[in-house]
Amino acid sequence: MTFMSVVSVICAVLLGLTGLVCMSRIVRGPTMLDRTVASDVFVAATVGALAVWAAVRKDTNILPILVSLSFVAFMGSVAIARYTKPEAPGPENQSEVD
Amino acid sequence: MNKTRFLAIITLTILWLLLWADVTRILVAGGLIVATLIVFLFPFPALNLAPVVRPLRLIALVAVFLWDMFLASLQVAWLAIRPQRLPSAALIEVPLITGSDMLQVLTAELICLVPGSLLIELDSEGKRMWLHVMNVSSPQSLAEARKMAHDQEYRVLAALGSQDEYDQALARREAAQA
Amino acid sequence: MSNLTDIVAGAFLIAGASFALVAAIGVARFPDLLNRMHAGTKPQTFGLLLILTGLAIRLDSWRAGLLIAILIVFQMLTAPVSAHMVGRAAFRAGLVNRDELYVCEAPDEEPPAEGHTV
Repeated sequence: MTFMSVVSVICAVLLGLTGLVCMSRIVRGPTMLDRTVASDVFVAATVGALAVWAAVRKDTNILPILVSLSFVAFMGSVAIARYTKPEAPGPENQSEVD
Repeated sequence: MNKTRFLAIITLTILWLLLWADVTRILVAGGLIVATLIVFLFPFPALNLAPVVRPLRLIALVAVFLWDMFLASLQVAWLAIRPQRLPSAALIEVPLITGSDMLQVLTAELICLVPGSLLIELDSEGKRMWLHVMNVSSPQSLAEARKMAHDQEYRVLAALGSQDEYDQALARREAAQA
Repeated sequence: MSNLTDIVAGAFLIAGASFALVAAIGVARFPDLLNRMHAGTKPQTFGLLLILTGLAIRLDSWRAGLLIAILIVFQMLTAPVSAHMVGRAAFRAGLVNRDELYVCEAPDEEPPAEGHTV
């Protein structure tokens, strides 16, 4: 195994765990905003994973994907925060799992 | 067309070229068209850019900020993985010196990334902001949190503030140290 | 085998991924929303910064480097903004338990509209 492939395996394990832990928070909630924060970290982990992939393969074509993905993540959390109703936490306050 | 809009168009065009990672005549023309459309279709309220730039202070601001961000990450990391329960937090009101939107935003943004604090509200007219600070459970740590916020504003004003604001920040800093 | 730049880049990548994991652990473990946001802002941004720096070192091209620099600056600009938006929404929605705070100097219930636009 080359050095870079060892690095990629370690990063894959770390970032995979990151995704799983974020998922647990997304499932547990309890509010929409908690899920937003967790999904933010989830997207960051995805961006990180793509960056590791790009680094291992020396592939510059992935860079625009990284840019657009972080744009989308930002817009997403701002939009959710913007449209969270100030009066009531809403029904999403009970943690529900489909 | 005023100076700010012109600068915005140039910056956006450069960003456009960087995203394409290439410079050709078509790309420059396309970038200029898109940038102009953005600037005129989505006009922003007039923004007062920094009146003064003190380069050495600016470098100090960036260096201290990166170091603080490293410390902040370590602190949050330690709080996250250690077995004990998370200590209590505090919501504090911090007065600001600067009335400039740009510098207020910069201060607030930097404060969000340095140890322990997060912006909750910013009262631009009243020059106040409210911060949520982690790991505060004694009067001493409370005082440290306030000092941290003031120091952050001091560094921003030292780098980009007008002379008047810089003097005020300096005076506040010296008063705190005395 | 590998040369020095690869080792440095690899160290950056692994350190960044570790910070991402710690951020997620914080988000999962911390007891309330605002504390979770601390975890979701600082280690997350810093971890991504490290990973992207590692990527820039490994790619070793100025074009990619510039694009990565934009990405890093963009991350540092947007992470506090989205954290602030979420924190403010949480506070206004009354999701903050004031009793658990050590000190609570709450802003007025109806903050002035001016200066609070999106």
